[in-house]
Amino acid sequence: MRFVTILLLCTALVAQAQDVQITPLDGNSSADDFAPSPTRHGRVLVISSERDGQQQIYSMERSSNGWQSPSSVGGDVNDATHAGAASLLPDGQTMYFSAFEHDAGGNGRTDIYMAKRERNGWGSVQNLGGTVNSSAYDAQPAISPDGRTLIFASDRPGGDGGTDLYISEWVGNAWSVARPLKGVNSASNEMSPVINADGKSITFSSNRPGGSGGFDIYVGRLENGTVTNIKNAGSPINTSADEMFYYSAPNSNQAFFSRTTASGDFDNFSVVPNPFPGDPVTLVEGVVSNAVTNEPVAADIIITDLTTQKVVSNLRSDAATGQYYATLSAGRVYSLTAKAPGYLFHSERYEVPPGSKGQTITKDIALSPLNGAGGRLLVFFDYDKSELKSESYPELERVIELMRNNPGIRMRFEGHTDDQGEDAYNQSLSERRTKSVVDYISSGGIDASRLESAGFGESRPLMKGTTEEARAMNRRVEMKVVK
Amino acid sequence: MRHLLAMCFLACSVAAYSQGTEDVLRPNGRPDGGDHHRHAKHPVVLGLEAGLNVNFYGQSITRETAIENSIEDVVKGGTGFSPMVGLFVDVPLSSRIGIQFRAAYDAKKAGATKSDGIVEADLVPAEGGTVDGGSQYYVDATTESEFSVSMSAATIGILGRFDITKELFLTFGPVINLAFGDVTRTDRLAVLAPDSIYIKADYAGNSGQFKEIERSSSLSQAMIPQQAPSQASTFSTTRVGLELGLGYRFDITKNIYLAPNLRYQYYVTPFTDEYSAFDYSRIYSVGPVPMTFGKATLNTLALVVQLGFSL
Repeated sequence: MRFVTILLLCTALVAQAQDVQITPLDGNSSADDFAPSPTRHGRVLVISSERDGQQQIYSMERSSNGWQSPSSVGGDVNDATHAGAASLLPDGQTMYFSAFEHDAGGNGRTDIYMAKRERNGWGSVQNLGGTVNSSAYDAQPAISPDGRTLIFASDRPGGDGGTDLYISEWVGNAWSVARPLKGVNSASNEMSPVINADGKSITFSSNRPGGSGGFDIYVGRLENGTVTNIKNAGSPINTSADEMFYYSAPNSNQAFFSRTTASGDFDNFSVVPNPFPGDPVTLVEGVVSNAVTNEPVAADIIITDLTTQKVVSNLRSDAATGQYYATLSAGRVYSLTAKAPGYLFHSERYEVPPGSKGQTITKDIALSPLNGAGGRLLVFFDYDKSELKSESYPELERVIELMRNNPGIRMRFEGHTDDQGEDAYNQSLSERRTKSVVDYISSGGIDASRLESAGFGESRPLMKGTTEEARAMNRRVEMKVVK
Repeated sequence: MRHLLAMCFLACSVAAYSQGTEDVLRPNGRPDGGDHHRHAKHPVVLGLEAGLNVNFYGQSITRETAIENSIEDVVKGGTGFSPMVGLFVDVPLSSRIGIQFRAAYDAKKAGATKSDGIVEADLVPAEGGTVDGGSQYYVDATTESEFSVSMSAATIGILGRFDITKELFLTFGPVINLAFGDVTRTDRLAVLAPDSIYIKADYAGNSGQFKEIERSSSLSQAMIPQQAPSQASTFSTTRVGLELGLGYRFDITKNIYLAPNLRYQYYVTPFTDEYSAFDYSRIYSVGPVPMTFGKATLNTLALVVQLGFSL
């Protein structure tokens, strides 16, 4: 009976393994090809390859016929003896990568750098500096989807042995001093960390004892700077060869990883179905465009979780296409703000539909040019109140910043009330609301001559009706740029 | 030559220091220890270079008795300009370090003029009698002495290159200067005052009344001819030195750059040996004064423009 049970279990495992199809990825060369990092919601793979005699970073886009041939990413990223193992934010506009002897300068051996996607390719390459990099080998960065957690491999002194994984967090305006990632390091080598799109599941490779031979893929959960529930990915992912860089495509049954071949060089492989998918996420994407001409706009987009008041994503829309990509959580309410030079900023409350987990939602953003018309910003008030709500301050601060940066513009502030109360009282209330906003803007150093104001009482509702929703929408001050 | 080999080894060692097999995938290189990388980002550069040398000649003189304003002092320091033109190959070893192999036609020229040299000259009684009515039959003649050294030469260098920034780079390494044939030294001596004083014989020994005499030879020797021919030194035609340079690259195209260089060549090999002679410029009042010409030096500050082509 016992034999039968074991036999049945083995049969099930083999059947499960046989279901997983592992195929070489398009675009492999005779040299090292590794770190197939998906970005832009899986539409683009950024890989590293030594096909031209040195490790460089390439990208390949998915088409109806499969993956297109890799092409070197443009710009300054590859200005190094070796560059590779890139990790990108979901928007595909910010890249963290490792490089040996990069022209941007380094702290010693291989260091970690950041680059921004610009109209003419990747530029603004910056070494992450001494809190992250050391004089030892620091490489293979993994950036979390919110851009606030960085995990990487390093063989700096003081570790558990060989290369270990380290973690650094973005603390407002800088990366914190890297510290060993808890729960994961051993006396063997740990390398190639990957944080999935859910920001919680993590994969890495290690040649610790007990594996299938060489480097194996391990999966785990990342919680509060500690990796838990670590397990070997097993067969058929792991073999006697070296396996590294296991990336799960978001909301997909596909994964990508790198494995050494008979020549000793790495190739990239595709895994379908993915035995270790991350948690489903809501993928939000859209186009930022000029509200007048519909032309794409390169904008900085800040997404803040209104419940925790924490910025969950700093991203950018593509300069050429205006496209942006973000990974958010279903059912949560966010503040979504988009800013671009020459445009009135866009800010709105955005609730990700509760049932959207695992789905892709389109959310386009139109920015009004400062020299055009039609753009307006809203500040809301409580019933019968003219005092500013604390949640309005960030919006007003952005107005102050806008006016400081554009000294040629003037703003008009129009106050409104809901339909409750006498007309004369509402007229006065709307004027007090306007005055509250104007006073706040003036306190930011903006000359009063640039600020126009008027109150309209209840005469110009934004939403007609007597529902509480309509009344809340109508208790407002509208801000418009005037020529 | 031993110095040259040692310096070549040093340059190559320094340049090769950072050439590791580390990459972003393998902190300790490949398991087989091989370096499969071709460093294609940093291609070999082939180029032309041309520039202007500012040459500095120096030679010390020590005397048993001090003499002011001797015409021999003209050789203590001299400068001169000369052209250079050559080829170079820059072989990168890493993103910031490489070796430059250079070969250039590199002329050297330096000289000086001294217009306040004093020589005690014979007075001919029939022409002027004694000085101030006394018994002194000589006069201090004011002279102009001039010397120059010149040579056609090739300079070969093996220099380590270190990029301080993407554009700014430092070069350092050994150079060897090889003269084509002998070094030519030209001397000229002229009497400026008084008008009645002449030089009795030219440098070839021909008698006459000369206001100015010249000679050209391959020897370093005193301005006033010496009685013993051995009181001279030949010039070194093979000299080993060290060069330190600073350059700045301007990209013209992706594969072509222009790089102004400022270089200083300090030669370890003396330009001449030390030799002894006599200072005859105060022959009547002091007599022949033994003097020693120290080892001469000829170093160069060069402003060079390189035109490099990436292969």
